[in-house]
Amino acid sequence: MNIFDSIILGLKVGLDPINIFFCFIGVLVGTLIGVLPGIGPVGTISILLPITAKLSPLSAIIMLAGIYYGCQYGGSTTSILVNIPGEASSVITCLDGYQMAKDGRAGPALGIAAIGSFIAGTCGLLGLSLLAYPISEFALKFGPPEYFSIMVLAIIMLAYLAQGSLIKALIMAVIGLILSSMGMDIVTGELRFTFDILDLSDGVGLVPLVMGLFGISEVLVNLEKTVNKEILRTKIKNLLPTLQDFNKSKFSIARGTVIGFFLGILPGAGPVISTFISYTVEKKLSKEPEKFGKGMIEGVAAPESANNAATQASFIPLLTLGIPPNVTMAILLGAFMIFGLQPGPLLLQDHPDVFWGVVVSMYLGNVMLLVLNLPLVPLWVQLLKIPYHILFPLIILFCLIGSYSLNNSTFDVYVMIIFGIVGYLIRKFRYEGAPLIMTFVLGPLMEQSLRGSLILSNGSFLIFLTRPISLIILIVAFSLVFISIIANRSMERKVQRSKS
Amino acid sequence: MENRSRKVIQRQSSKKSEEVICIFWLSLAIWVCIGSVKLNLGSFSDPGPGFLPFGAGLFLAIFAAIHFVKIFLDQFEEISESPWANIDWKKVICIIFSLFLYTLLLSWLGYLLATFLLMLFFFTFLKKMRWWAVIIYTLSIITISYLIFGIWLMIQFPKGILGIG
Repeated sequence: MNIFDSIILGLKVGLDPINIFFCFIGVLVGTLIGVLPGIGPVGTISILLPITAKLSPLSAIIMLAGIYYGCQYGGSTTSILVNIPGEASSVITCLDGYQMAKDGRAGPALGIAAIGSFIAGTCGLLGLSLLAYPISEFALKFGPPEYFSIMVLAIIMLAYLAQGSLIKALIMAVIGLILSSMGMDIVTGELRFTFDILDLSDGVGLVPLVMGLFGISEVLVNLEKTVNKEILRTKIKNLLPTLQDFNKSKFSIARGTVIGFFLGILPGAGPVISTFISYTVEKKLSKEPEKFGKGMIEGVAAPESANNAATQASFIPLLTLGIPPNVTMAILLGAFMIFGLQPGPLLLQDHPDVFWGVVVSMYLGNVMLLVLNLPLVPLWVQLLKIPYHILFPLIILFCLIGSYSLNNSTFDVYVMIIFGIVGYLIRKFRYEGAPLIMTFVLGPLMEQSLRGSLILSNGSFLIFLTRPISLIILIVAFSLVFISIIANRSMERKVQRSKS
Repeated sequence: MENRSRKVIQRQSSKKSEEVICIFWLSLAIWVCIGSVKLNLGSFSDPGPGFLPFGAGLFLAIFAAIHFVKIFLDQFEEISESPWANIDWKKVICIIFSLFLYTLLLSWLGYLLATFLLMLFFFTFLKKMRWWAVIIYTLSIITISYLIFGIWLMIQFPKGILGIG
């Protein structure tokens, strides 16, 4: 099947009314959670995951993917109008977006954010469509050692780019691996760390784990603080940027798209890092860098384009290699597995309808998001007025229903509450949940690849170094650790010097 | 001066907390390693069910030890405030306790009654609202959630003493 046949198949499947409906629901929910601070795509996708079990696999994946890319659009609205980022990937948009809104230019800021997001999202999708076949064909050459090395790289990248300490991120990654080994052994069928609890024979469920770590713990943390949501009382007019605005932003959108696309493919980097890098690049290239942070439209256009391009590009490693580059994609990988689908090079061969159906729905979803985000901005702003004491019982109820409905058992609810407490405590000690989830999802695949590689090599770990692709990947992974150690050392020396 | 001594006390408190959590990781690592050995490690050429967990436990021990040494040498990241500062223990414990109680009573009371009581509690928990607003919010949420999840998505909620679910 060539690319044109595939796209026609994708159009046929993606434009099915039921799939259009779920694509719309996905982007609508995505925009909603993007607007609302305190709940992100990770929590929402995990909350909705058990409910989607009632849908067809394609409709479910289309909806869940829509939530992920939809929230990138919604996040900018709160950054611009309230100075509170709806999502982590919209933090940088606050700097210039809110200043523009204060100067009475909220309309053009929102407009350029939506247009930039649309252009970048569409370009990211084009990249995904064009790169899918070559990457999948290349990935068919991979054996267990290559897969194991890629997973090591993904985990190290995620730990390397973690906000806090590298060692804490690595501890979390190992804890995820230990949790993933609970339950039945994939080869011998022996039960591991189940404490004679029958419900644990299938291991800890992904959904209660994620809901606890990201949903319940988020509520507990938010109850401690009161966020001052002062909505700017400004009339939102002229949503379409002027020609001058567009001229100023066109190269920023292009640069943001390119940066976002390449960082989106890399494991661990994702939308958040791409916004910071694209903002820095814009500031460096600008003739008026001193005006950044005071309402420059380029400071909105570039990061908003970057996070959308990165979001679309992050589907490339997931769909073609079966390796999630970030935690949201890891949960989406879990969703694929729940539906009996294995993302990776064989997905294109065995289920081209799923692959291309999702891709086509994403093109459609981007158009829907443009329509949802430009004329409906006042409606989204109203949503921000929902007080947290009304919102938090809803979040908890969704978590309770979601975890219960998995197996119609209260055991999963207990697991979720326990991980809610664990999530709350690890946040207090500045540990991050993302590396834990990543290794938890990749754990079984990683174990399979490791054991497979060792059986192949008759017990020699050199197999990871004698196969060229695996060797290159491992060199990159350990270089990152080395760079991190050197950077930390020089930072410590600087701090000590400044103290003395 | 007072500010400085407060900072020193804060740092010592966060250092102590970090040390405690490091010891917890080390104990967990040892427990995982012992459990893995009992499971059968196998050999390098034929890894057994305990092979990966043993490796993970070993790495956990190494990372926890590195972190412990860093704390001991005072090289851990500066935490601006103690992890236990600004915690409203009453709120946190109330939420956790209510969730455990809800789960415990879910099968006996049934979804509708148990959720009604939980939502009633939550809506009055953070902010005092008018009683009729609390009742309206609670009933609307239960009705909508039951229609969506119970009727449309056919999730089988526990029927409980009311016999509806």
